[in-house]
Amino acid sequence: MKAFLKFPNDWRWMEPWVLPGLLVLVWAVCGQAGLAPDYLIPRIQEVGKTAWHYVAGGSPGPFAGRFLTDLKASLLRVGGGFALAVVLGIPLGVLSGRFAWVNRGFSNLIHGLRAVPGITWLPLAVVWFGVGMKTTLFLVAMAAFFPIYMNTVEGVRRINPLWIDAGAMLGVTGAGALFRILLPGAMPTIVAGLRLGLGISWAYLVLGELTGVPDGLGAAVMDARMLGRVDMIVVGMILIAVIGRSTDRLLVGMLKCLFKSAGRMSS
Amino acid sequence: MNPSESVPQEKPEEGRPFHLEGIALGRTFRVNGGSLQVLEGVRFRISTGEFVCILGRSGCGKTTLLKVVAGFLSPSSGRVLINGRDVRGPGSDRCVVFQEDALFPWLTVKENVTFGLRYRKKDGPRGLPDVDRLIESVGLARFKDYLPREISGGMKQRVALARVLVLHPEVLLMDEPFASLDSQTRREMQELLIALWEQTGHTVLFVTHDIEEALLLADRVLVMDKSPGRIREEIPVALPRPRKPETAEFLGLKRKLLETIGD
Repeated sequence: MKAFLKFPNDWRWMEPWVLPGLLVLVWAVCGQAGLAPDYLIPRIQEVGKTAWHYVAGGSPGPFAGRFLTDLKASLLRVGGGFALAVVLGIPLGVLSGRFAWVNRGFSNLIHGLRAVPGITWLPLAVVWFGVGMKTTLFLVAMAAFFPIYMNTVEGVRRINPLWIDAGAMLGVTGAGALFRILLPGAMPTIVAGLRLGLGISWAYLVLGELTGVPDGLGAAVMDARMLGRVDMIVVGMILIAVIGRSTDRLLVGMLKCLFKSAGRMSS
Repeated sequence: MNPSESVPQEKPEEGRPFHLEGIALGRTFRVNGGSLQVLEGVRFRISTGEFVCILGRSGCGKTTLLKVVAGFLSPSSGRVLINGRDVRGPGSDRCVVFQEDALFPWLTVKENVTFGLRYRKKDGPRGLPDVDRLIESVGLARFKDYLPREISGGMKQRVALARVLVLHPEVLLMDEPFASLDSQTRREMQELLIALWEQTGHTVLFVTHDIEEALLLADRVLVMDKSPGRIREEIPVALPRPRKPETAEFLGLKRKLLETIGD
């Protein structure tokens, strides 16, 4: 049976664009047909115009030309928080995956904390770190840590024990085994954890920027909410989606460049 | 009386020392609070360049024995000696070809073969081995840039063989390496192994449950008993190579082994 919506090889790059394209089409048609009032779903032309002004400036208004400043601030916060989560999550995950007693020692703490919604940390974080960069870093790092940690543990635990034996017999033990066998062997799962972590970083970015920071994509969305600018809210959402997806591609590309195992073990 | 004492022992030829020796090897495992004796009083002596098969049914502890010799497991009692020295932990002097595919899936065939070279302790003035020639000698020249998942099971075991041969191990340990291959591929691999062994003169300890395989390959077959695992009998195979499974001598030995193992 022929797969539904399967493109010939030359056109395969289009496959990921079919659904977003359809969504935009439905949106445009709905607006044109007047199916929903503008305060529920702003028209696509309005959103496009707002986006243009947000990115390129040119018209007066609270959002004109803010995009680059916001993007820079948000990327810094996401990048910093995500990096913190990686630096903590991967080493701890390797230890827990390798040593059952470490895993047991951390299990209640980590799986308990994991259940606590990030938003409940917000008041405490603001008291501890004040409004802005540090609070956002904390929230992003906190949120991204769990998927990174858990996937690293799983990846390391599921490593074929024969690889470890084979490595030892071929002369690779200790730190050598960590870098030559454990990390490459667990890489597909670690990559999955990193991607989940980066995705959730963007979600928590907005939470962190809720607190009244002057810049950032989340702050722009929150300002738009205050001003009742639904079009600007949608612009913010779309931009976060686009940037989130781009950083995801970038992450995967970088990992494939840096680690043979990231590219070769995913078919 | 220690059961291993009753096992007839081979005499080494004059001037040939025992290369690999197991003395009263025992291994117990803790299972559900109890203890399970998997090996008891296992004793063997293998001379340099000898090809010895350990033959036993599944679950008789032959893989455990091989892991103890390899150093992956420490014996609960007894000793493993190589050239008279105690074995402590795994080392590239005793290399294992595993039953399953234990190649590193993120490395190409050639990278798998050269993996051990980079980490080999510099313990001797052996020149850099000709990796490409080795890869060719196991018949993988065309596939050296392939990933393990892109090649067949038989080829994977060729890679597994090459990645240990490149280290010039003193002893080659093989844990049913051809068990999961189809019969034709298995025959090819057996021939390849014998050809390489005749060239290199490694000492080989080869574990198998396949009587015919043991008779095709070995200078000597050690038959292993189950629960606890110990060496029950030892049968020299004095047939000239290449061996033909249809000859009367071969069939006679096969019948004898069948009886021994079937008791």
